Amino acid sequence: MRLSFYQTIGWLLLLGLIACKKDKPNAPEPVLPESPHGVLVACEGSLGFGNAALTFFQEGQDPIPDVYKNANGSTIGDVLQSVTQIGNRLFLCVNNSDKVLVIGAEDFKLQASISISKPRYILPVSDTRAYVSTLFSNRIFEINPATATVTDTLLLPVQNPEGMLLRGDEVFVCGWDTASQLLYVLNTHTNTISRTITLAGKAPQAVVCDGEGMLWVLSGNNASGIPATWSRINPVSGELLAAYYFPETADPIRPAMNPAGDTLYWISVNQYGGVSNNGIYRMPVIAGSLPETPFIQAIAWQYFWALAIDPATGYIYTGDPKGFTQKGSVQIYRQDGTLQSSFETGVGPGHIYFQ
Amino acid sequence: MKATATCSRKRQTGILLLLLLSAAAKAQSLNDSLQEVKVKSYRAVSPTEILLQHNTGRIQPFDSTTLDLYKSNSVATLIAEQSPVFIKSYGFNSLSTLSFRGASAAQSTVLWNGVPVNNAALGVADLSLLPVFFSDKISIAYGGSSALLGSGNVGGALLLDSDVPGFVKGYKTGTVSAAAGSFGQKTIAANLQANDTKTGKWQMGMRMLGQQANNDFSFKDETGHWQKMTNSRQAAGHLLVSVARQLKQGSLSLHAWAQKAEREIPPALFEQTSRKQQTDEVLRLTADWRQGSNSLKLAYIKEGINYSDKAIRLYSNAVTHRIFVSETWRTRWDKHQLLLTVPLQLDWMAGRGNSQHSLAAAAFYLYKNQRWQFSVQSRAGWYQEKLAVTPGAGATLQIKKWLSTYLSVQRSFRQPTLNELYYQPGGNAALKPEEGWSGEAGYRLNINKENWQLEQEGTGFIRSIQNWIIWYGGAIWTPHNIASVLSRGAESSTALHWQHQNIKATLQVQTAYVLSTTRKSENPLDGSIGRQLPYVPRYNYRINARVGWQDWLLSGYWNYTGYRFTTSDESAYLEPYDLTGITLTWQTLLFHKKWNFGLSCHNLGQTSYEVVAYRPMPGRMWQLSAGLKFL
Repeated sequence: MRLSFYQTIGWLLLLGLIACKKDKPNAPEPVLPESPHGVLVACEGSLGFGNAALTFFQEGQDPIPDVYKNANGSTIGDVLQSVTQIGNRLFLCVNNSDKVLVIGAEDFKLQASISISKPRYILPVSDTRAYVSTLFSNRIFEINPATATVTDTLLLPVQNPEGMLLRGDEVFVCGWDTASQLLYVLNTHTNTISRTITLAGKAPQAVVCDGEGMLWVLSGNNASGIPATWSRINPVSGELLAAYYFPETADPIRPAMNPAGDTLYWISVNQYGGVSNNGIYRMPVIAGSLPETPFIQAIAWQYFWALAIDPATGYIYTGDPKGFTQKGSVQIYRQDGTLQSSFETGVGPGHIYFQ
Repeated sequence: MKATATCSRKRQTGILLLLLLSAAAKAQSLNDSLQEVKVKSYRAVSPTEILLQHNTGRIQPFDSTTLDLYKSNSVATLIAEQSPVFIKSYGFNSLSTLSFRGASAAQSTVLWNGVPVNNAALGVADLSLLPVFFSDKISIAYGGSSALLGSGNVGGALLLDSDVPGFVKGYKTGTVSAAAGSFGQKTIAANLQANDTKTGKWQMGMRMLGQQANNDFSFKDETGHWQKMTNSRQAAGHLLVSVARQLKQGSLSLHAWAQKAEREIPPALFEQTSRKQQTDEVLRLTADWRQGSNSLKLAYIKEGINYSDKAIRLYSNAVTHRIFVSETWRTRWDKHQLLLTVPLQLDWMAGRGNSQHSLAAAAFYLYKNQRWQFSVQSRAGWYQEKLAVTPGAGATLQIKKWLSTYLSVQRSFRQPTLNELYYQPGGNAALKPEEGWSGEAGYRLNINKENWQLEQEGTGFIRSIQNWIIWYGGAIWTPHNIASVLSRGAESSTALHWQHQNIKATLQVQTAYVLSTTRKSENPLDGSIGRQLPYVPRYNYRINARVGWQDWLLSGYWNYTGYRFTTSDESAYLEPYDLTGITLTWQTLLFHKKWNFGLSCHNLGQTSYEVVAYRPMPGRMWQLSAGLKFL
């Protein structure tokens, strides 16, 4: 068959439009959990990409990548830093979206949004009071969780109030400032600084309490060249009971205490593809020195970004962000360090909660 | 609100009718508005000129009519609307970068008069800051040409060129134009060029461009509510001064291009407000000496990016410098041609003490007869004392008078940028260069019959890159050599021209199909194996149509951009979008001077879309322009 000039033109015009691969991706059906009791994973997302998610997981069920989106039809925002349960509501600190989202703990429906610049963590003090720490400022906001409103602003002498811990009527605040070596103690009645405690290292970022009631403060800022340290503190006297100095290349984050309060866990992050100082470490609170090898070793090109210990089972949950460019995963380890199971999450799993 | 919209629509229709009526009243034809590329014949004595004249791969030059249509726009807009190359735009007042055939922005080169103008630290060029008006010729060279263009030319190159000076005694030309459009957009531009009246051996030229915009367009947020863009003002100024001198043998051309752009960075959809601002200041100086078969090029570029985010008290000022020297020599005998070039490039960042240098020697050999063309090229480059050799070869066969076919292979290479190596925090000084091979094959046909002409080009390509650099991280991002990436696909361009008396019409269809997938990863847990790279659409279609009658030109486009994944494992994606636009121009004589008027509309269909996630793009945009040729 000989094609005419005009038929040739027609066929050639069509040639370029032939599709080779189905373009439309498969989108999962939005589902909600039948029961709200399970594991919540706060997935930060990639900074600047607006893809934070709240993953929900129940044993024996497929994980729900973003239960917030399924319940509300919209996305959380940019960098979901933390989730705090107060009563029957969850407070989501969405760091780079400058807001705290308030959702129902059972239906995950959005109830309110509080505008706060760069919120990081929330510490409930009472039913009507909670403190919100912030990045890039020296401010701690006091909010009323019942009304979802800001009620007061506290100013620290240092930048970046970060980890906080309530003990009686005192709140111990870490100011993640590379120039600071102090732990600030706030009086919850007056919202003022009542005293300070000198630490072993600069840039305090997180504080946890052991079974003996002593505080463990993790300091350091690897990116700014401030080496990390552990300071064990007597919260009453402010005495420095012990100090542990990490090697310069170590970048420890996310401290966690086991339910018995006798063993301290943390992540050491190596973002450069190596295996040194990379994995989950643990140490008895009475140890004389830091462990030299990780309890769970991360493989090359992997590092962990989330760590939590299930209060019911003692299982260790870790989050692998896989470079923050794709879905992350959570691995569940037994106390002996063997892998129990794992599940997929949203992008950048950063914190894990059990409810 | 509805009444206002209707009124506005009536006004727009009125303007169109007025222009149409004036056309009917005017019979005199000033010039042929569909006249294609301005042809200036000269001897190619630089790698980019060789590439344009003898490349075996695909080259897409934009004709002067197209450049005229976009003279008030940025190069980013031109490429996005008139080629299948994907422009990754972060929205108004934000970065717009090239993505050729699935390659990253840093794997694409932008050359101005043969000098690489990618930012020395970032390795990318922001096309939103490059005005079309400052180039006489703009072309796209698809595929890697590392042998001719050096490190970083993996995916393709964008070539911005000034006309070679023509030393005509007493020649002078001068134009001034202004444009105003939606969202407070205003542009004013002028172009002056004159040769001395005694000998014609001196030529001086000056171009100026000033831009201002509010960019306060409305967009739909995630909940479907209309919002108005904030923190989106922009102002920019460009000045290009050119001096050329005809020597006893050869010529010397000097160009100085200074630009400053101040722009507010609007909030992304996930941000409540934005107080981000950026000031870009660039100075580009070039000297080009040509004598017979010799060419010596010297260039110095200083680029400063001053970024601030008052909300978090973040202030940064990154200043980079580049010195580029290139000596090129070319000879030809019988059907053979040989070009040798020795480029030297030195980049450094002010204040940080980080620098990068490269010295290379490249050779290009060409044999050409009436039927065959063979070329072999190779470059040996010393990048930070490491040797990289990038050979390549190509062949073209003229099968019939109307049909030719070509095949080429090329080794590709990209040295990591200063930021990838040394940025604090996150730089990785242990990064290895990206290396690989690419190949392409294609055909070109050109059929003429009566008053019809059909031009078609079809190309298939494949490229494999090892040590692909990818940024990983949460709070701190760090680049790694982690992936091996295989890109392959097909492109087509079909243009149908028709002419009858003083009517000329063109219909062009361009398509691109790109599969660019991760093939290997160092991380066994990586979920990106076999998956499409983020922000690489598999499908791109462009349809452009033009009709010219006497002094009128009506042109329009329809573009389709397919799904783009936003994660490396294809777990999240952006919806595809299609855009339409239309432009009407008219040229006339008023008060014995040549005038041109234009009315254009971008995104005529008011499509709500995002090129990059959570960065809304504007809806329908009108622009009215007027130009005067006073010399």
